[in-house]
Amino acid sequence: MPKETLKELDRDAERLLFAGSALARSDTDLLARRDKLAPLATKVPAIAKVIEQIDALTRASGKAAATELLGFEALMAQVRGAQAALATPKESGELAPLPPARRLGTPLSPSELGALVGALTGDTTIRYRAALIRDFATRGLARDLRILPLALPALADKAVSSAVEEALLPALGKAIAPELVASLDIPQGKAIDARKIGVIARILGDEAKDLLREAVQNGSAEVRAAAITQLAKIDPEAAEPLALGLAQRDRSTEVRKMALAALGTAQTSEALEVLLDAYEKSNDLRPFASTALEEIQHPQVGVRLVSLLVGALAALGPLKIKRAATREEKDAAAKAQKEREDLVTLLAALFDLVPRRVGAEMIPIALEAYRNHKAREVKPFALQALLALGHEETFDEVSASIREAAPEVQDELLHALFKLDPARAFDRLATFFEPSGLRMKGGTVLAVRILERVEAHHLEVEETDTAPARASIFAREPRWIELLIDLLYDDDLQDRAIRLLASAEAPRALDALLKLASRIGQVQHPAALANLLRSRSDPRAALAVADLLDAIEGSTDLSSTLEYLVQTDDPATAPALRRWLEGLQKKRGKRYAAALVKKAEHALSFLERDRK
Amino acid sequence: MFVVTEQSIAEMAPNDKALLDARGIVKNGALRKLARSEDGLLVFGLCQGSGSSPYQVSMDLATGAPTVRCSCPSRQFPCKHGLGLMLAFVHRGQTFPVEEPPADLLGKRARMSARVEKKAAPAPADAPRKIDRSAQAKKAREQSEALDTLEQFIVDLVSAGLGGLTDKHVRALVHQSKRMADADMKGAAAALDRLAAIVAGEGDDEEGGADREARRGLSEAQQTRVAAMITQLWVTVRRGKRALEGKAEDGATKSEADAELESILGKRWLLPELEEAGYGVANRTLLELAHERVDDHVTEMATATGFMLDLDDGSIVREMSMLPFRVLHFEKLRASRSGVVTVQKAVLYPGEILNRRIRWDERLPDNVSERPRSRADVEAAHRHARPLDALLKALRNQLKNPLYPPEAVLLLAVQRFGALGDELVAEDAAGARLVLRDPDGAPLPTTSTLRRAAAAFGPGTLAVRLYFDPLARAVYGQGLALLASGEHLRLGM
Repeated sequence: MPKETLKELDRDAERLLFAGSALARSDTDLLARRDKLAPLATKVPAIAKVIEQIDALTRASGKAAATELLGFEALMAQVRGAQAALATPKESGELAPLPPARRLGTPLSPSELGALVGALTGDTTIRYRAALIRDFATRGLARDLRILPLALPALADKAVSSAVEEALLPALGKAIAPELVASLDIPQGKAIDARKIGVIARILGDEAKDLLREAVQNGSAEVRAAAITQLAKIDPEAAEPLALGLAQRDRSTEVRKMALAALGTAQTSEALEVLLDAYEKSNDLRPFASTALEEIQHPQVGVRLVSLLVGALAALGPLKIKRAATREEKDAAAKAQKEREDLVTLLAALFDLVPRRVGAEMIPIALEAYRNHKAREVKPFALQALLALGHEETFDEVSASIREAAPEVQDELLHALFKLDPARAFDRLATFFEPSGLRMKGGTVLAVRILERVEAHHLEVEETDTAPARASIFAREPRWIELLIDLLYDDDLQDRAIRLLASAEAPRALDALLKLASRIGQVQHPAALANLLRSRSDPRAALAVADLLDAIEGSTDLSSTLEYLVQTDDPATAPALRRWLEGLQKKRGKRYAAALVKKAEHALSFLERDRK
Repeated sequence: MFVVTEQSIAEMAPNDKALLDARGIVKNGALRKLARSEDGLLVFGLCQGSGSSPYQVSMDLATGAPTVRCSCPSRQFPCKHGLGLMLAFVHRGQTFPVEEPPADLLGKRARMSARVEKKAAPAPADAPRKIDRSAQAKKAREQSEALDTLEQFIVDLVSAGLGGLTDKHVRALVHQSKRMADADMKGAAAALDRLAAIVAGEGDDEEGGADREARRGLSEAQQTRVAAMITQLWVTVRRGKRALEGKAEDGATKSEADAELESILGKRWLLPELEEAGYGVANRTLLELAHERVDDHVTEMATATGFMLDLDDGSIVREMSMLPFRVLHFEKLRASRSGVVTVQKAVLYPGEILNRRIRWDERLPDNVSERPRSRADVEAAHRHARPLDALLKALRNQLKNPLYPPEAVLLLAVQRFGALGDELVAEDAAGARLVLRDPDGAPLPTTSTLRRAAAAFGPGTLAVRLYFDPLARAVYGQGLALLASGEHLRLGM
């Protein structure tokens, strides 16, 4: 077996490098193997070389022995290479088939893959990791075979787990599902397993039913909570009995919460009773029961909720603080106080939920509570409900005293008014912009609040893509434009009026801004006006901006305004620019702001160039 | 003409953030007044950035690869505005109105064309390169002295035994490494640095230094690595001295001798030198099988390698680019190639190794062209696949030289994939089995990906890195790409 002996000699060479050449030259194992190979030396030249090298090593001494040992190791490296064999598998026998896998390509280029791998593995040189993962998933590029082994470990990385859960894993789809299922720990599952349950349900849909049922029955608290939520989405009928059981008897509050929320897809009276009971009795469970009560399709739900609201209103009396002297009296007072607080909390929740569930039927109850209820805590809840329902009489009732109302009530009212209709909002609010109204205490503050709401409403409409909602507030109610034009000459409100008019499409809005620009002395913020005019494509805007140069002198916007004049390239602006430049040099001298003046001169010579 | 695609833009992006921002720029409508020239090669427009006035951004395709220009102050190239313009061009370039390009852009284009033409023009034949003989002699003297000290150093180490390495030895290794680097023998310097890192018990990514301390005891794997490095250094010394004397190793070919000049004496080949030495090749059609990037934290160099299959002769060559870490912010490593590259004139670096390095001049007019990969190309790759026995035989030849890499990328014809215990195994038509396993420190583990790919797409041609594991003293495989069911699945970076 010369091959085996050569392998042993190879190990010897390495071992002896560590032992040192002094020991190597008299190593008994080395010599024994040499003798074993010696008979083959005449037949195999390579073995003869090895024998020769071992002999040279044993003969040498001192540094020469080290040289020979290194020569021996170099020789054995060559022998090792020449004899290299394939690794033997740890097990023998027939090859087992590989577990089935879905076909997924490898479309990512190395740089894209590098970025995504870095984002998934926490490469510190990759910025915005979560955004990057979402970007790849959204563009459909994440479906790459090489991402699969990295996707699941990334779910445990807090910095990117949401992006992985919400975007990456769903994008990988059924290709990742077997691994997700295999990695799921149902009995001992933690938060990460709950996340996996959500993704599995999203990817597999109906195919996940059995797994979810098993998770509801045998899972840890986190797993049960996630599983019942998902099962209710996929198979409401199968989920209902399980959710009812969990909602009433599960030892974990979190599971009970999710089971209650899951009952939103139920339809039985039993489910309604369980939800109403939890809603009425537990502050902790109420938000989850509320979610379900808003969704549940049961004919009695509205009636039962109204009945609960009426009962709670009747049960709540005015706040009375009794004098308590003894310990028993104090305890009783504390208990009564707690019960009252709980009732107020329940009423707040009911005034929020019931309008959404029953609509206008709620108005008489809310109106009665707003006007006549003895407990003053009820009034804001009832008002909120009425505003949400768009009950116009309430607007009239409240708007009379809105100037003195708390800011949050003002906001609620304004929000509700604009939501209803910009025209009706104008009818009710224009009065606050009359000079007498503005002069009153709190008049300007309220006017600013109203303009803020106009702006917010305008932006909301701009950001909405649905066609019917696309018309701007100014298109729907042009009187707002007239009002804003008037406000252009109000010192306190001019700034906002300019901004709003600049965003209005109407030609008369631009006319008004141009007119204001021509009255330089009346412009509070000429630089801001010039900036807004610069965004308009009307040729008159460039002329107005040129006229404002004098007023914006000293502003940091001056330089960019000069660039704007060059870009618009309107020769009609040249006289205004020349006038300003000459005035500037006359006023400040020729050495003033040389760079700026030079820029202005360049702009002027550009505008005044020969255009033939 | 260069075809701008989303992928080519991603390859050009200096980093992922720039690309992300560029997409935002396109989405937010910050690009305005986009237009193209009549020939469609010049695209230009404005981009509203954070500055007060919009940036002027343009892309010129007249000189082959896109020349992107932007008036923004960013030091990144191309900047996000330029990338945004390219993306907008890919998505809706056909809708850009045709306009007369600004004069300054036309001026820049003319100057650039002139520069390219000047570079492409052949050097005058009567202007031979100047050779500074005294500088060469001085360098040879320094290298000879450095090799002498290295020889003495290794002999001293082995005389006492590598088992007793101390802090003093770590410092000596670092010192010796500097000496080799000073003599322009970077390969030996890097090997000594790696040796010092192992002895000092540092990971590859830790900072080195002269004040490192020796670790207590080495694992079996570390001992094997140390022994291999010492052997390699020893061979470097012996062959380096002979090379300096102008003598080749007994039986060595000219190609091997030339390869030693590069690996031992740090020779940097210029393309004309390689051509003059007879390493020029012509009309090669290459398909990139796999691409990988390796960051060497000891030498602080990043290397991108494309393993290119020569569709005519079946050899696999390496197209490489190397950059120091410090310039990676400004320059990009070689990008992957998804198509089939045809090169008229190239050179193969010397050496009797399986994956020789290939290089060509991209700037030569019409020297390189790239076309989309076709089914016939994949079929050609299948034809070049070999059974395990033939691959192993080829690898053994390479392993015999301690200065050559103990690995090679080859094409294996796989009859069947399967599992034995937890190991993935590829079996060829003759029943020979290759255990597939990621080597230590692989940039991206590929075996688990191959397991899925093999299960989904079945057997085919596997571009596999056969590597000799010094600890197990056996050859394993790492799958780099699988060509099966008409697909080309890249398993690594």
